[in-house]
Amino acid sequence: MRALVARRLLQAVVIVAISATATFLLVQLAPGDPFSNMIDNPRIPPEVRERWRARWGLDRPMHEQYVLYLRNVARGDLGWSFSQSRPVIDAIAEAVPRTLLLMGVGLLGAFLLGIATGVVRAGRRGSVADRALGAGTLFFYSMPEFWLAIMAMLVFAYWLPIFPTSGMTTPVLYDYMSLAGKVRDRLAHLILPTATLVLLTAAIIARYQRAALLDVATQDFVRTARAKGLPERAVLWRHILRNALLPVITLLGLSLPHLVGGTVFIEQVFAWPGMGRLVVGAIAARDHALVMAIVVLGSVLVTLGSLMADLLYMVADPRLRDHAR
Amino acid sequence: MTAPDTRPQALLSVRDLRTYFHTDAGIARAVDGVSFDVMPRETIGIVGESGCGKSVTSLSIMRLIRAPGVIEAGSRVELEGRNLLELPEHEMRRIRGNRVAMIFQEPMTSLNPVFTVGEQIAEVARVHANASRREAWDRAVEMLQLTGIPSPAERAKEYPHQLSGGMRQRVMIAMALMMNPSLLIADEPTTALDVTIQAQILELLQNIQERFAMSIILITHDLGVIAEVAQRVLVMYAGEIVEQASVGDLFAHPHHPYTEGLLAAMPTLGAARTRLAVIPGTVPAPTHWPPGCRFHDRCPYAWERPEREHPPLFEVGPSHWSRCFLAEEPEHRRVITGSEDRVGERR
Amino acid sequence: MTLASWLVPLAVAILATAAISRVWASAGTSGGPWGTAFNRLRRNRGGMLGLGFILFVAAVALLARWLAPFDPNDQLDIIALASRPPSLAYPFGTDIYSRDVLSRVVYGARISLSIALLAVAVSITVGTTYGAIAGYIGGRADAVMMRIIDALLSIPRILILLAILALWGRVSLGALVLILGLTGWFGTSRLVRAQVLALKAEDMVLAAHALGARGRRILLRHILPGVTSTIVVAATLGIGNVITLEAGLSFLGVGVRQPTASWGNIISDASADYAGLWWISLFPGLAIVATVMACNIVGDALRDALDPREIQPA
Repeated sequence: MRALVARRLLQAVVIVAISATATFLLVQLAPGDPFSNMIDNPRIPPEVRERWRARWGLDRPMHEQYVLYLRNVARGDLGWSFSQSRPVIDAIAEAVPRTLLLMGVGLLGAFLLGIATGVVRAGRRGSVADRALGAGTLFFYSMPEFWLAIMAMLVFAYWLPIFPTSGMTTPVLYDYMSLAGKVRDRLAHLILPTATLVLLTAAIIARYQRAALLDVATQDFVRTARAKGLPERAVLWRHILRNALLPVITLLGLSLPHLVGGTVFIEQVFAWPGMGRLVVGAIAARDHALVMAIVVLGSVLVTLGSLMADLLYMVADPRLRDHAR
Repeated sequence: MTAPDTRPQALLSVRDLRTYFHTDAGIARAVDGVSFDVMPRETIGIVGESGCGKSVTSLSIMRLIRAPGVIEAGSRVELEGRNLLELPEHEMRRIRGNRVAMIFQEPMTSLNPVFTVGEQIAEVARVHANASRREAWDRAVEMLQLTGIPSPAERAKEYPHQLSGGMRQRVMIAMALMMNPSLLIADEPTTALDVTIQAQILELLQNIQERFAMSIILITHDLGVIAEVAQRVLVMYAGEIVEQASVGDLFAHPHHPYTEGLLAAMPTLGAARTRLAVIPGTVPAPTHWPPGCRFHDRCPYAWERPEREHPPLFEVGPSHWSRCFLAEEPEHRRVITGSEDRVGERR
Repeated sequence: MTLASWLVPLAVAILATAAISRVWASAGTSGGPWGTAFNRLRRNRGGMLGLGFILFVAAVALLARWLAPFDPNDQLDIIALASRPPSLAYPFGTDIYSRDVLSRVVYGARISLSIALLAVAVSITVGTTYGAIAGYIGGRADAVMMRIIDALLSIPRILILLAILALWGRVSLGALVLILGLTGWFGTSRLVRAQVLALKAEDMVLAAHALGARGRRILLRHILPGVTSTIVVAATLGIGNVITLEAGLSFLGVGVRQPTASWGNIISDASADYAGLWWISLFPGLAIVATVMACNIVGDALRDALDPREIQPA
């Protein structure tokens, strides 16, 4: 089992390396010379410019640049963000936890809602409830994230002013709140963006969960469970659901790229100061170092997430545990 | 139709069992009027080809039939005097796995892959006897020991995919024996196993029958298996019982042409190397049983009467019943064309 | 330019759907795997409805010039008619530059739909080629090719798109199509490869090989037809996907650039005041949702019809 984990880790590193390489090639292929554009920008003080030029080997031939680039990325040195006037790594370090908060809560909520919906639909297969939920699932599944975000904002922040419209906390007033007040304020700001993410991701999960449940329900061991005289609830939870969750766990890994992408739009609409809003701002400011770093980071997040999902799957399915057999 | 008399001490008494599947393509009469008794400590075999209704019969006894299948009104299944078909579901659940247990053909897919075998066996005691984890687990290990699994305590902690086919079937049997049932239904328990393992499992079944004073209903398509372990045999065809007899009588004096065909189709060691006899044709579709004898178009002796009239069961010997008009008109028992050793030549 | 003129695309859609249904009916009687597929498709009412809707949108896009009451870029009266909510004269209202939103949505259909169709065409072509070659060659090369795909799939597509668009700056519509197409083929290649591997093992291919047919011939004549159903489903679902993506990119300002209208960048015009200009985000958004839903329904119907053994979500 440990060998398996080590192998997956190595795979993850390879994948990130390939993504970094793809990013590097992209930069090289782009018109102009973006790498040195970043550095030759007059808004950067000359000492900084010299240091970065040396560090990234911009006078050297491409293959040497590539090696230096990989080394720098591995060390966490991602260049200078002139739009933020600080190292890229600092800007990212500040923004990533906020995005992770959003994604983490969103993922949890999405899985709970998605699984529950799948269970309800499979249990009442063919009924009105099944078809209504099916239509609802399809509706949210077909929706662009930014649009749902806007509509949610319109309904719940403007017309029914329940929630705040943007940001992580109420500007200025936050600092004067009590601890309880601060917690409530953060929660209030978290709800709309998270709810948007949850609804959209849950729709995808619900579709798969329903299919998985229906598939498992016809398997022989379910018949055995009934033949043993188990109450229907035990059959459903211990036997059917437990097995039907397995394919949904793989979905966890597969839905990560979509999730990371979705947060870009949601953060933009709700002005949530995370990675997504950072990258959009960087594009507008033509801060290429920041943009590229976020792309590589996105790949890292997805790879780590899918690695965790794989490990979770291995824990959940005993058939995968001993590779030796 | 003359059915066997109900002897008051029968463990299981099935009367006029009809299980129909109501599908878009029509009503499939999978089990169409089956009646038989199972005495205590008796092994009866139900034999027939695929689609004859033998599995559906056993599932009906356990009331494991799901939509679109329905056990039709008028059917009776009495276990120790109680009609199982009239019990509310929660009562029936107390019978399943407890008084009547069932094992299936495919032990790999019949076991839940994510739980250890010990847990799955112990589950039976926890549900029916409200046993504690410890008690249930100990009894599970005990059952594994009984079914001949070496190092049962270690094996119990393993998962189904780690065991061989024969061992998994022993696990299924152990699971079935947990609550000391009066009746064990074994649906093709050895079909998916190697021949050598088959023999072991059959021997195991015989041993536990004696030890637990159980009755067994053994369902198979293999007459050889029947010969080894059963006392009485039911031959099923097209949803009906076509012949019922003790094992000795069936093999020595088969009456129904279908039984004759089955026996002739068994290859025998040491016999002359002639071509294997085959019953030509196929089973009719369960949605469209013919009005007369259902074996008519495959029967070597067929004449007009069975084509239009549906034969009831005739008593052709002591405890020997056959659903064939040859009982009343034995003069038709001659093959129409071809030589006698080619049983089942088409007209 | 009245309400009546909208009956034309509606009629076109209904007639076209009916015609397709009849063609499938007659093809269905001929039997064979395609025949049964067509019959199943015909009977799937949701699927036919979805198909009809897509045809309706396509008809609207084609007939934009006659359906749109105004020129989409025409600023009607910046003083009196800017930012007007929906009314009889302007059913979808006007935007901050006093352009008629309905007209922009109609022309936007043309842009969004054609971009999606062309991009998906590119994705399918590249993905199928890559996947077929990988699956057919097998061995080490296949493993490497797929590892690269794994890596590319791990980068969220949005981020790749944003990165490219950031580096290249303003791109033409054609370049946008190409970029969307070239970032969307990874999943398709995996699906096609899986199909090719399955088909390769089938007896008919082994037989052809034994008879001395060359690789390329085997690929074209025996394997590709089996891959078609996978491709068709992937394409249909892909169109909905790209519509959403393009809308998102245009919304962020990096996709289709103003003043050309696409459903996405119309919505970005509302960002100054989402609440006050609600109609500018509502109607184009509904258009997107409806079209993408239709694509998903049709894609699901195709999947049901072409490979019933597969697990069907929803």
